[in-house]
Amino acid sequence: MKHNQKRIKWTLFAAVSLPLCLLAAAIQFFNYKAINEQSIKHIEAIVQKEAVEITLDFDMLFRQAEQVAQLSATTLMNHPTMNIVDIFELLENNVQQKDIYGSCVAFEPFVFDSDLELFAPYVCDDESKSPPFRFLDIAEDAYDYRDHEWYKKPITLKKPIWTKPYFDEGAGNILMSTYSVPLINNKDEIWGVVTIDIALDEISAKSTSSNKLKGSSLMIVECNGGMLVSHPDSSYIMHNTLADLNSHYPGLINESSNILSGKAGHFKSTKPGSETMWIIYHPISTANWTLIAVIKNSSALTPMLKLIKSNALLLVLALAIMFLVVYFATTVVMRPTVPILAAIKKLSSGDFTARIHITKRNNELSSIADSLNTMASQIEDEITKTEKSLERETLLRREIDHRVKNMLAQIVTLCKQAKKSASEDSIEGLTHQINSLKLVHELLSKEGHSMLPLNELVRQCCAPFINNSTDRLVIDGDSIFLKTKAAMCLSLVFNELATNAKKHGAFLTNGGTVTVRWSSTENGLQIQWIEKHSGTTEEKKQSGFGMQLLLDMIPFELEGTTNIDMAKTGVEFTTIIPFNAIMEPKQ
Amino acid sequence: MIQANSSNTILIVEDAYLVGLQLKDDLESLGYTVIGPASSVKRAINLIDTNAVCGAVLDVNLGHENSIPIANRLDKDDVPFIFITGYESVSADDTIFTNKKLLRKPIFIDDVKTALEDL
Repeated sequence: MKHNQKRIKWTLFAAVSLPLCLLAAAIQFFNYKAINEQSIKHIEAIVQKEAVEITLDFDMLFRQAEQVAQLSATTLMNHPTMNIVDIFELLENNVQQKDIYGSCVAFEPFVFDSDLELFAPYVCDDESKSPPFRFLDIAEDAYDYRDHEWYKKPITLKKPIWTKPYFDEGAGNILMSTYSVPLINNKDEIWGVVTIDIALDEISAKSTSSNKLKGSSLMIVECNGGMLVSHPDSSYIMHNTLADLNSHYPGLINESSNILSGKAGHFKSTKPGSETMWIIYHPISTANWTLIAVIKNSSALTPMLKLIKSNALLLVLALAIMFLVVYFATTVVMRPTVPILAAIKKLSSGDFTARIHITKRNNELSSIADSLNTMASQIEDEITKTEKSLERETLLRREIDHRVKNMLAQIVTLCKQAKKSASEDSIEGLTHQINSLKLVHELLSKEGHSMLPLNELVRQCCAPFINNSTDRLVIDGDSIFLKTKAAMCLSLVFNELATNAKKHGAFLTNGGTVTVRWSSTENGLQIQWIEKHSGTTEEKKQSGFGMQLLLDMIPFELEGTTNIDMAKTGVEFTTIIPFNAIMEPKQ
Repeated sequence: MIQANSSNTILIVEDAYLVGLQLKDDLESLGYTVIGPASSVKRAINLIDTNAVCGAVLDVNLGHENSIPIANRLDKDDVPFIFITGYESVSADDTIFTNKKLLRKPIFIDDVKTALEDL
């Protein structure tokens, strides 16, 4: 029983707890996903901000360079007579500007001097000099600048251009970009170009050094061709393209069209055997470049990991509290079943005195308890009834057994006495005697109780002698129920009286009557048998066994008194029997 | 050993008149002297007081009383006796029944005779 009870409890517990756990797991999972996405967005935002900052830096730089170049071009066109010293002074001025690395004026052949085919005075930063500038003519050493992009393109297009980033091997071996403005006079004659070089190394170094993303590396790629412009490993710069990095970051080639088309975005790159990387890219529009940030998954999640941890802790705590609540609730729900189960166990083992005591509440369980209690008490009542009835049956059976045995013993005596006298009469008398005993037995069986009405006994004892006619016998007395022993004794006595009356008295002649009356006296119930008949019938005083029985049996068995009187009108028999010997006590 | 002769007086205690009467007849015809039958404890004790009794036949049940007081009195007087009863059993609580002969009704005179002779 106890085991079952526990099982229900645990089933309830599991039924509530498991969905809760699943719910918690789901919440944690989606939470993780959301946080993951959020961290990537966070990184994206940082990268974007970084890119915008770098873009702004570039913009400023480029605008400055463009302004300086345009100003130089205007100055040169307005002062066509400038000599070499003037030009170098102009260029030196330009280079003194912040972030400008070098400046050059390159002339068309023979434009500056009819004797000089190529002339390109150039000034650039040189920390080793004092003042820190280098002055040179790049046309020296037979360097024909006219084939170079920075010269050819603006001349051809007749408008200023920015060159692609390149390494200037001759001028300090640094990464630079050049803004070239064509020098065109009023007559649309081209004199040459004026250029401003800006060093990209610094700006990319600045961008990568001020990296706000911990655990990440930044690189910049040039969008026309995918050349790396900035990379933590400087050996890659201007030597490798985006495609070369695919072995480090699988999936980069697939994304390269997006990266190089100036879009912003991110993707996950997983290289077998190493940690997943997030690659986030954002365009630097002014330079037609793209900033790429590479960050490890774990690093990406670091800022959010704390949040996830605290969330998980909170969830576990909430679950623990839920478990406690559920456990408590199931215990409380199941508690009232304990007395019910205990009572049912008792009932099933046959103890119907068991009752369930549920004091408070008015719910399903208490009605179950009530019903069980009612059932138990009804069963108990039934059992008590059955037991009582069985007890009565047993008593009755014993009573009958005793009575029959007594009766047989009496019959034995009657038979032996009849044998003694051995006459026809005595045999017939025996028949009547046995019949009168049978009468008592019949009456008792009919009533089903050991209660016999006296009037009925008298009537039936006399009936065989008067052919059932009612006017020969007058019965006068209150309704009285006889004890069995008294009834058997009286039946033999009345049988004896009736036999005698039939032989010699009132039942012999047609006019004779017998009155049987009884009434209470102080010594007990007085019963009288009074015969009345006219004819002077020969009164023969009975002798022998019959008379002996008539006079002795009642005193012997019922402690009563007897008297017989042979009056002129017939026999008068009187007996007084103590009430306790003759009557059933009133029930 | 109570032989059937007139010097051996047997007390009969029996509340059924006819049974007692017959038992008396039978025992007398065997040669015993019989006193009783007595149908109550009072009458039986009275008879024991006024007669020299050699043995007794006691019906256990006497209607509203039983014959145990008579048995106790007889035991006290060292008078042997046998019980007769119409019931299936007698109360096991009464030690008086141990080592006593108990005949069941209906009784037969031969059994009574044997039982008396065995006393």
